[in-house]
Amino acid sequence: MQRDDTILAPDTRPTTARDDTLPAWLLLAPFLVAFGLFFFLPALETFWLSLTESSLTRTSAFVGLDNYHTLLHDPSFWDSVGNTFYFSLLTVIPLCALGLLMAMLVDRFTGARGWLQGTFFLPFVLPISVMTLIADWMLQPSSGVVNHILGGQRAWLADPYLALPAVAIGTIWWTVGFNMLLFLAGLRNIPAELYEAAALDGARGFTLFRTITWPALRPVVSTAVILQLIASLKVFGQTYILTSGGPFNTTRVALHYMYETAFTQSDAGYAAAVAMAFVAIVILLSLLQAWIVKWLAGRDA
Amino acid sequence: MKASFWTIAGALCAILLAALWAFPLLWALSTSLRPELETVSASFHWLPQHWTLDAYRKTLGAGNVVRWLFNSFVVALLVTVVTMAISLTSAYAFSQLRFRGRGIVFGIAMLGFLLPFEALLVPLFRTMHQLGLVNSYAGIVLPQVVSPVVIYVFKQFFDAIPADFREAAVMDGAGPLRVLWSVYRPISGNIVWAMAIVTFIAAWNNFLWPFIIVTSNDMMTIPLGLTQTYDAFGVRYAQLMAAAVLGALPVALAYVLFQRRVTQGFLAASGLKG
Amino acid sequence: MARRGFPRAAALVAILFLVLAGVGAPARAQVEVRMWTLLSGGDGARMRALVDDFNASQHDMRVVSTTLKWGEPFYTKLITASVVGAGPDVATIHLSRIVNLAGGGVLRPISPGELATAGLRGDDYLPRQWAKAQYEGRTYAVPLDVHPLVLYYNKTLAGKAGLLDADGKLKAIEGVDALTDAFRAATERTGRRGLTMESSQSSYAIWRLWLSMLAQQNVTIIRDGRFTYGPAGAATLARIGDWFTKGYAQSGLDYPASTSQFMGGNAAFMLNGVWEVPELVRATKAGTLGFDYGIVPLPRLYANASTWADSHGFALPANPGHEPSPEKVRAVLRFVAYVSKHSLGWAEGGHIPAYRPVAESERARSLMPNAMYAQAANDVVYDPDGWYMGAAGPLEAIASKFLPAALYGYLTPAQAVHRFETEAARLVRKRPPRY
Repeated sequence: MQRDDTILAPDTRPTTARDDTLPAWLLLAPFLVAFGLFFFLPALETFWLSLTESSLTRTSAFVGLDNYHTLLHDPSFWDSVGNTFYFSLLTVIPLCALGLLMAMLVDRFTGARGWLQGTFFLPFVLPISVMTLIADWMLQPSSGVVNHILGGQRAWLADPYLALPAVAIGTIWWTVGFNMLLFLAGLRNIPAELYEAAALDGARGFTLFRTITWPALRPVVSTAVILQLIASLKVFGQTYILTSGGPFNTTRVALHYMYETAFTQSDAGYAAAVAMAFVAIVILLSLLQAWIVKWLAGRDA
Repeated sequence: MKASFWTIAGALCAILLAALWAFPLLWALSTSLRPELETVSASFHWLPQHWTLDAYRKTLGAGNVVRWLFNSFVVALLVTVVTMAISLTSAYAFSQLRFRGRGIVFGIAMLGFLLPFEALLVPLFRTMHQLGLVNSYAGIVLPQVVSPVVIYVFKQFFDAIPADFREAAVMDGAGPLRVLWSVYRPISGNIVWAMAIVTFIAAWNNFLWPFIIVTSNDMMTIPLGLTQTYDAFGVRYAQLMAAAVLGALPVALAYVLFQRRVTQGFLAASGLKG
Repeated sequence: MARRGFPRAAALVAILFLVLAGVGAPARAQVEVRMWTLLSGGDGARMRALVDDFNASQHDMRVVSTTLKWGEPFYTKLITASVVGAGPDVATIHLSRIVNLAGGGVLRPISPGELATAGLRGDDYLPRQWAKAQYEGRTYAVPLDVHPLVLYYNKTLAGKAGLLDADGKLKAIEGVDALTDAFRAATERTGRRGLTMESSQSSYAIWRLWLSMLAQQNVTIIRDGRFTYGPAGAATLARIGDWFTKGYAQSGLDYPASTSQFMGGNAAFMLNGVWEVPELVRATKAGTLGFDYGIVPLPRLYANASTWADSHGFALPANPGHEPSPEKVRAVLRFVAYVSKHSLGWAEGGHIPAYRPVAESERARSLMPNAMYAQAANDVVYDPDGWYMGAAGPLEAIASKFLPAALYGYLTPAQAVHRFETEAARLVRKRPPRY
């Protein structure tokens, strides 16, 4: 944003720029129409809907804050939020740690770089349903390869204690490549001289990581964590396809609850309230996380 | 000695992880090349005992897989072209042109970072219903072309180009569109390519929105259609895995062909994830 | 014959000419009726056969049928597609959903005139089912069948447990204790399970049994937007849960697993709908079943013999903006009438036909094994009326997610009922939506 301001400063602009207004709006028009129709107005409408009793296509009454009041006392909603947090807990840290490890391996073994990077990243470009089809097949209780390797006949996706962790593992396989890429870029930005200097001082192995790599990667790590947190909070497809929220709603996440409320119960007003609450939670958590990162950095400095 | 310990440990770790990550896809491939009976047989084999393309023949013949692939291609292409067009023009305006309200409009556009698309599903569905666009390509495509991330990346790119680059052309009396086309297009090839590929992959893989807006089997995209294959095939794992491989193939190929650009693009658009 | 043969040949030549001349010009218009069904397995195959037979018997129309995933996905799709005008021309639905679908504007009423033109008369259908197809004085569906919950038993295992009489039929079971005893005896004396029943996540079987058992105690579930079962709700669920915690039944089985437990001779009893009958008939015929089976209506466990049932029926989606032409409606009803008159084949799916001329025919009455449970039709109870009610409807969907948790041991019966009630309370309070 700071960079904008410098460009915006009037005196740096040539005089010819003054008559840009018309062309500017013309250039912006297609985007603004799409943005207005498919983003801005729906955003306002979500808020408005949350104050009404509405079905999927009709609004029947204005009910004020009733939906929010219901929401506060709705254990199903809070359970779904709890499941969402649990899923985030199961994915954020492993995805970041594993992503970092993979990035370091790719960076270290330059000979196999293309292959390694490709192997780790490929799952990320696949459609979600390819991942879920494969996961479902591998986790089959009787003929699945996972049970074959581990022994036993666990019904992974039908067990209230194993289902969400199983979905989380599938998600880690599917998306870790992205985090690896972020960390890889971070690693490449660390000047080689730093390592050389430290090596001259006799540092090796883990010491090098602790004294040079980790501090230099800190900003990347916090970016990765926040992106991952937001992505994990928005989970829907994986659980919807693999477990339909079951068993016994133990994998029904916030967006899934919103979907069910809107599309199977046709309670669009309440669903909008769920959406608003969900957005508030995501924003609050992102801010909290950013604040923690800042506080940690400040403490270290 | 210590260094070699780390090297060996690292190499083992790399091999193990790579094997773990490659296995599911290889396993899907291996399953898809079996006769159906072999997938449920009591004896376990890593490789097919009888290699066959039966599952692929049945999948392509029975399901709607070809149609879904076609839909995905049309949708992803339209999303990419439209997103590139409107993002380039608006990013150019935000970066290079001077007009009242620029800061505010840009700020509002960037709200898209904050508000998850998922929160807008209900009103979007209602809007599409009112416009009569449920079950149409336009209905699938349009909400996907609003991409603050892409605009942000393009704006960053334009911002980084020195102003005098443009001055010469403006002096010659060229209009903004002409300047954008003849001055900026030639030098923005890389970044546009990268963003286009990323957008294409994201659109190809999008599940949530098509899931909401498509109710007819014929209009489904591949990620959506694949979730219906259970109904089409029943529990037939060779066919399901053949469908998975077919669904994975186009993006996997695109990735292998454009690995470098994909990497660039994803890094440039770190916000695209999810 | 020879003389009549000549005009026929001439007609053929004429048709050939017409076809050749008609290249480019529209061929004789064939009305295409698009149908969505939620019928899978044997029901799906039988409906397909009916559709094929019908199509073979027609030349100016044909029915194209699409099968969608049973339950919530089917209805969600039917509702969203129909309210945006993108629904099919005809759909198979459950009559328990009429209040929901007709009241919500998803279906279009069928006028008496339209019914009459197709030769459909309300008197020809079982009165209870015909009444279920009405909403606010209008007809919204044509009933196809009744399918109650029944008790299947394995004669070999039940015999070992001493539960059969001299004729090899199940001795009468009266009262929930007697039923529990039967399950226990079968479990203890055979080393197999006494009962098998679908009880995994999202199982509807428990709702059906729970509803039946409450109705047998003359307890209603909902009245005037309030849950009225009181303590009986949790207590009844606990009685069912007992069978699982004591090991008479294995918990966590999904539908295919529970039926194959019975088919494989590993459970003495099975609580399930009549739709599993054809599988047993088929396996018996093929000689793969390995035991004799019998079927009885759900026993009287409390004050009366109420048994949950539902009915399939044909309905026309409203498709606002794309309302069907009179011609299309005629075509749809012609198909529906055909299926009604040929529903003996449907009875082979275990269902009791709703079309009386078929249901009351000698052939239907003597059809085995249907005759063993024909009695059940007299005691059926449907889901109570309400916009949120009906097969895989919003309320059943909630029940199907919480009630099985009590059998699995993940929640106590009281917790499960409580959780069901709190989530459902929001629906029950709400005004009926127009979708």
